[in-house]
Amino acid sequence: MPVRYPRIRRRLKQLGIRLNERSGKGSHVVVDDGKGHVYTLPLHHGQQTELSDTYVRALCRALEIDYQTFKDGL
Amino acid sequence: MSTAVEVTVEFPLRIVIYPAPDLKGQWIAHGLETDIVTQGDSPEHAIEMMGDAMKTLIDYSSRRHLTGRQGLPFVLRPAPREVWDLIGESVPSGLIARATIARASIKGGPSAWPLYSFVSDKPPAFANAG
Repeated sequence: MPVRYPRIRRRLKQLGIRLNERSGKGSHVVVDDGKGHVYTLPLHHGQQTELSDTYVRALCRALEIDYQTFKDGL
Repeated sequence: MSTAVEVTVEFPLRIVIYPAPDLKGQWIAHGLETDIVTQGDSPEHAIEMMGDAMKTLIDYSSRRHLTGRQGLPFVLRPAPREVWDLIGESVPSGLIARATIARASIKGGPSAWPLYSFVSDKPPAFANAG
């Protein structure tokens, strides 16, 4: 199931993971957990961006967090 | 008498474009060597988005001197096998996007990484599973 950006942002903040929303001039923001894991998040439709489950799984792999735990907290 | 020769081999990072299994009208761009995933409104837009994702990541990491154990401003981490499997049936769409470092702060490192894309009309097998 796809997830809208604000829910992802809220969940990441719950986990203490920062979103650098002013990091780029393009269509992505940077997700940085402060532990050496840095990833990008597409925001091509702004706050209304819907993110595919394929993206969410890749995000979890990059941040080395459990996908199911992440999804359960959304 | 021997002669030392320094050889630098550069290769493009490959990306596979496929339709998002759960979002109509959205296309996924998936980095094979990086496992970086982004989305776009068309295959062409998804390729553009991958260029933007790489540029954003490289710029962010370079400014903070964040280089992984591979000495790059991003991590080389293979995508899941199901994504690699798509290459055999995909259409190479050529060298289209290029990610470039905005502030060259990685001594001796390359300043740009070309992206080579393949377009598949179906998603990886894992995407259909639940």
